[in-house]
Amino acid sequence: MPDGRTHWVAKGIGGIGASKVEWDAEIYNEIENEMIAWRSVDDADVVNAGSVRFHAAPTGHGTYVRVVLNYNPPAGTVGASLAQLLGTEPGQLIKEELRRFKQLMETGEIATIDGQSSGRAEGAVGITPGSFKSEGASPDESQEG
Amino acid sequence: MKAACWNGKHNVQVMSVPDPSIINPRDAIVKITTTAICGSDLHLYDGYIPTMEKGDILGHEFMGEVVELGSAVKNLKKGDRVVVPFTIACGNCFFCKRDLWSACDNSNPNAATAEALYGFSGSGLFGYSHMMGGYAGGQAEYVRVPFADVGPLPIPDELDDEQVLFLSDIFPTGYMAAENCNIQPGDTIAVWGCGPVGQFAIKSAFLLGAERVIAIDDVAGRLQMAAEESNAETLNFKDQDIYDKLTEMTGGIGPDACIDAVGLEAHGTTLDAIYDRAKTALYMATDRSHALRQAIRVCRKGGTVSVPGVYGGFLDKFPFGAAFSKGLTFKMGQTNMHKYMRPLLKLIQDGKIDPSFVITHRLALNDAATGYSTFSSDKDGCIKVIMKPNLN
Ligand SMILES: NC(=O)c1ccc[n+]([C@@H]2O[C@H](COP(=O)([O-])OP(=O)(O)OC[C@H]3O[C@@H](n4cnc5c(N)ncnc54)[C@H](O)[C@@H]3O)[C@@H](O)[C@H]2O)c1
Ligand SMILES: [Zn+2]
Ligand SMILES: [Zn+2]
Repeated sequence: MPDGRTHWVAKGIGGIGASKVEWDAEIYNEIENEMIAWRSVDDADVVNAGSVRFHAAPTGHGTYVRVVLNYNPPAGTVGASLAQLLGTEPGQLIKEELRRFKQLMETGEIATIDGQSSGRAEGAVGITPGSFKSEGASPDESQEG
Repeated sequence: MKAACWNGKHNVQVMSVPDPSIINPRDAIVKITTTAICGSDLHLYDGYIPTMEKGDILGHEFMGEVVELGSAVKNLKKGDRVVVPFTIACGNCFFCKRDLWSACDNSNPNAATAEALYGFSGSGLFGYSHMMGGYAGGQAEYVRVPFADVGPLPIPDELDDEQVLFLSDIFPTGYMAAENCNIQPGDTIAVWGCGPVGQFAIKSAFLLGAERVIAIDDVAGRLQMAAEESNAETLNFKDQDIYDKLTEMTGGIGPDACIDAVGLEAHGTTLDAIYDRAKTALYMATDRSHALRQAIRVCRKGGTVSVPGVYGGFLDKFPFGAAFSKGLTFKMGQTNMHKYMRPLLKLIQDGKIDPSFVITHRLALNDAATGYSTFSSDKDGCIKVIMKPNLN
């Protein structure tokens, strides 16, 4: 977008109100290697402002990354907490994002099991009976090893 | 592919599931040649470990051939024979850099769950519940190995699978348990539990210079293995009072160090053990700590209690006063696998130890359910089960 603005869409929102919320944001303060601060502009669904600050942790324990986020709930949903809108508490969401960011910075990737194999996968079927009681997918007795 | 899946308590089923694929750049896919069932798997089998889901692929002791590599893995090539450590570790974080590999900060995608329970999360583990990452295990034909550039250990051709498979867990686990005892010349070490972990703790204690090792269990076949394979003195806890006997055997002061290689499913015949069983059955406590209590009581003043046996939750009637007043040192935890694999491989190559001595059962992967039920119920005849997918 022009003027260094960014457009944001928060998806997967349950609870009351909108199924997604959108806003434009501008960076109004930036100090290289130290901090970035943004605020929403015009009529954002969620009026918000925040900052990310970086500074060295003591005794060489890497870099602190601190996120501060302030927000007002969307118009028409007065009293709704962002937690209800996002389906989870924003502090926890941000903490998980920061954890993933740390993993990416330290290891080059984000630890995940999304997409791995399991007996729950589509098409998975039991080929031997369970040991005591077979609650799993249909066992074929004839193949018992 | 075929994989042994946890489908509930006492319910292991071999299922046909999709083949694994590379997900992250540091992944590898390993074609399993040999895999084993661990005493830790019995805690899952018996339903003691929370956050298992039906369909989870079991297994954290395995080895095989590298068949696929993520773009960031440069130190392995297709066709390499590797043993894979059961703890998944990144090699980059604060903990990995200090050799505390089982405390890796970056390998558990569900760290928040473990944090809620424990304050901080340990490393991800293969096939060991969603709280510990939910990674699919290696009792299967293929497995996805994350951080393959730091974990898997290449194995020279002249060593066969049975000689090196246990570098994946129980040999390093027994070794770290003994190393944690800070053994000095002349020391007597007592080991509770003569399962595979206990057997390796006994052998390792001797390798590290112990003068005597006293092995405790109530399973004759396992005590016999400890005596025959490692020259341990043995005590059957059904026949005698362990505190009295150990005190008598150590000139009245107790063993210099005690190793609890039993863990949270300890059984016993004394009042506290029966009380534990009742409490865990009623869900008023999660772990039965009979062996650990005994170890704390009998350990000599200023001695060390080393705990490789797994605990998951809360202990009842834990004799902390005894531990405090005797000034005991406690060492415990999941094994820092990556620290031990290379030096222990060297011991195998030098002929100092042949870890295959614990194997009693060799099965096809298809027989996984039988493997679990036999290992669980026939402690006397069955000490270690290994399985091979290509025997199917
Ligand atoms: N720390 C780690 O990284 C790590 C790794 C592997 C296994 N483990 C744990 O080590 C423990 C042992 O594993 P294993 O494969 O040898 O299991 P196992 O179940 O084969 O052996 C346990 C042994 O303890 C004996 N036992 C039970 N109650 C006892 C008591 N009161 N006193 C003395 N002996 C008693 C049993 O008869 C059995 O022989 C398990 O808890 C397992 O989860 C930990
Ligand atoms: Zn194990
Ligand atoms: Zn790490």
